[in-house]
Amino acid sequence: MIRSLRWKGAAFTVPFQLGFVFLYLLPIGYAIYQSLYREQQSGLGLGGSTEQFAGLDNYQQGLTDSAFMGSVLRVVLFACVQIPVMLLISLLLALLLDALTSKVAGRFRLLLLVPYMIPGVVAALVWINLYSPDVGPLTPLGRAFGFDWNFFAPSMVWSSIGNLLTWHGVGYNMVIIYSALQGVPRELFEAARLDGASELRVALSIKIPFIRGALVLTGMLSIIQMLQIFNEPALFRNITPQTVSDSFTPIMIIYNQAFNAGNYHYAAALSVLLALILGVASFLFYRLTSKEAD
Amino acid sequence: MNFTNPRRRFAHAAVAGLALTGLLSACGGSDSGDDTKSSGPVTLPFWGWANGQEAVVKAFNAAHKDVKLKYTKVTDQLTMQKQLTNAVKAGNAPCLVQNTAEYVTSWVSQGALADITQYVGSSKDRFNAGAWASAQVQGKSYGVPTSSSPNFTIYRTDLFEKYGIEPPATWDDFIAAGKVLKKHGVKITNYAGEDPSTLEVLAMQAGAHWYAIDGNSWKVDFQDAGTLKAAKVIQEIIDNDLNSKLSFADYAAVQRNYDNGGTATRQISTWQMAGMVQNFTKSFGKWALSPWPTYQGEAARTPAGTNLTGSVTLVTKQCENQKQAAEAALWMSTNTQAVKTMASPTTGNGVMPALADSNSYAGQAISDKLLGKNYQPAQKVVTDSLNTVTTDWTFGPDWTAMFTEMQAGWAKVVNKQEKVTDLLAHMQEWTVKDLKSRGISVKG
Repeated sequence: MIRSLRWKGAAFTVPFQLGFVFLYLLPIGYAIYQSLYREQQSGLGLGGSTEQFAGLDNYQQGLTDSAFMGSVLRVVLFACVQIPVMLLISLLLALLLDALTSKVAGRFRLLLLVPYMIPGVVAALVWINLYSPDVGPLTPLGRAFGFDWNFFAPSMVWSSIGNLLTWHGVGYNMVIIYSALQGVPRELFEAARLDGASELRVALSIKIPFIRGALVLTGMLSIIQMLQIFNEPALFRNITPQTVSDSFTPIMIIYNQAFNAGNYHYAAALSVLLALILGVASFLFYRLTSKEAD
Repeated sequence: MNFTNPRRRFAHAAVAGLALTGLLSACGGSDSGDDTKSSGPVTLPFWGWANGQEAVVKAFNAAHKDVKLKYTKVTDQLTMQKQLTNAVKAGNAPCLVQNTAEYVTSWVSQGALADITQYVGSSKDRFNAGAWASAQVQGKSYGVPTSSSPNFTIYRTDLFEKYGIEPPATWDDFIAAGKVLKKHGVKITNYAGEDPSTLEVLAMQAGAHWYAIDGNSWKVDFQDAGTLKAAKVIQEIIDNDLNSKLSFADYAAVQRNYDNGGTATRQISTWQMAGMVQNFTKSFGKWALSPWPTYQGEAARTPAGTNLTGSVTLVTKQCENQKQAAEAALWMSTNTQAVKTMASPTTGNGVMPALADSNSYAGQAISDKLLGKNYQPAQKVVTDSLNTVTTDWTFGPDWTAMFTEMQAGWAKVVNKQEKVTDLLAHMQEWTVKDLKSRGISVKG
């Protein structure tokens, strides 16, 4: 009786399981399978190629590929700057909203979410046009105030992309943090205020510790998203290929290996490597941040 | 749509109707002539990106009953590489593809192309030697060339006169002229950060051989005397800030810069003029041609075909009708009307044909609107340069991957983050390693 019920219950998950197997497990399995092979030629290489089992050679090549590891490092460094800045702004905005009455807050919340409603590619295009030294308004504006900036220069390009990502991501993260703030028991504030705590003290000692979970979540999501960054730099590359190389980010390298160099097996191995790196990074981040809480 | 006979059209409708009702299973169609399914027209998919191909395909289809081309326009060479790679992997590559000479060996190496020597070999004499070689690898033909590669300098006569300089005959003169122009805020040339072809063509001209076949293995040399000679010229131009750095990504901005006199010369072929004519507004008639600069004390020599000057129509291995495809490619490159269409910058893309005697097309392939009173002498510059084209250059089997790698390094060179010689040392190491990892035998 109980067993049959259990099976009935499990049957409800079939649609999910099917999707999971066909859209998730199979492609990953296929990528892993592909990554273990390589195209092998012989002599002058003019007679076509055969597929050969390569074992872990592709992985070894990936781990020693300075372009790939360099791009991972580049993105990680960038993440270390951009994500804290973005989350800090999101947190500030969420705290400010939390201090308002819910009617006013609702209005602002919607307004702050507008950038997130714009598709990422469109947002990138908008900013690329704003940045453009040719047609953008920011270059003449900078000149009027004595700044001769070029948003596409090698030293500026990460700040330019970072600004775009922050602009785009602040609203989304703010909404998550704000809803976490709503869950903080209001009587704690009363008690703190009765004890003479200022609003700042309430925010620092009660609100932020209470929403640690939401901060960890948004942090982790941002890290995962960042390591997979592709759209923005790829669009920047279109307009300024001399600064944004095609090995700028890990996904750009994978894309390039698969579709420009025609090296599918190596691209598959790099994809699996990137997934592993992402897994490890998320795990470490989670462990480090939740340990402090204990 | 080419069926002029109403009765035949009716027959077609009937056949289609039968097919729809599922009655056509055993019907061979013996009575409706050469247009029925069994014996009737072979359709050959053809991918390309050059202006004018659509019209050529239309003309081909009008002139042929048994073979029809189905044209698909691809954005550019880069997109072609991606889409063709995918199609070859998926087993549904088109029969005919436009490509540029640089990538022929790469495609042969990937086993994507058909050896069509038996179908086109006898037509060799109808083409000029340099162009014919561009569709060949190790003596076998994999396609038919559609263009030859005249190369020369185009320069702003008004700026040169104003600052009292002559069109540079040698690369040393070129640098000297660049230094004069720089004093007046004008750049002599443009180096786009994504396009290392300047290095490629200057090395070719200097007699370099990045790839060579030595017995049964490849010999890779990115640091031979010729390449170093080219590197020296380029480094001097970059070090002295004689070049603008506009990316072709913003094509309109590049053209605006030439139109406004921000940059005074280009080393080009005929086809680039179409873009200039389309985008310019004020500098018409102020441009003139002069021969491609030589290296001090050397005879005139111009690079082999690259990009549209090295255009070929290739036949793929996955094509089921390789003979018909080879003949179609041959027709597009030799039919007088088709060649004329492609040679014109208005109906086509302004390339010089690949034919043995293409001198008569020089007048069509260049623009008198752009050159003004310099139009007449320019024709001789174009035809003269055809006699100096490098013919002993070989593109390697991993050219596609190599060029991508070089693009990344070239960006650093243009941004002065590394020297040309650093890039060359890296390319030497990288290319040898890459060939080895593919299992190709290599010395170097």
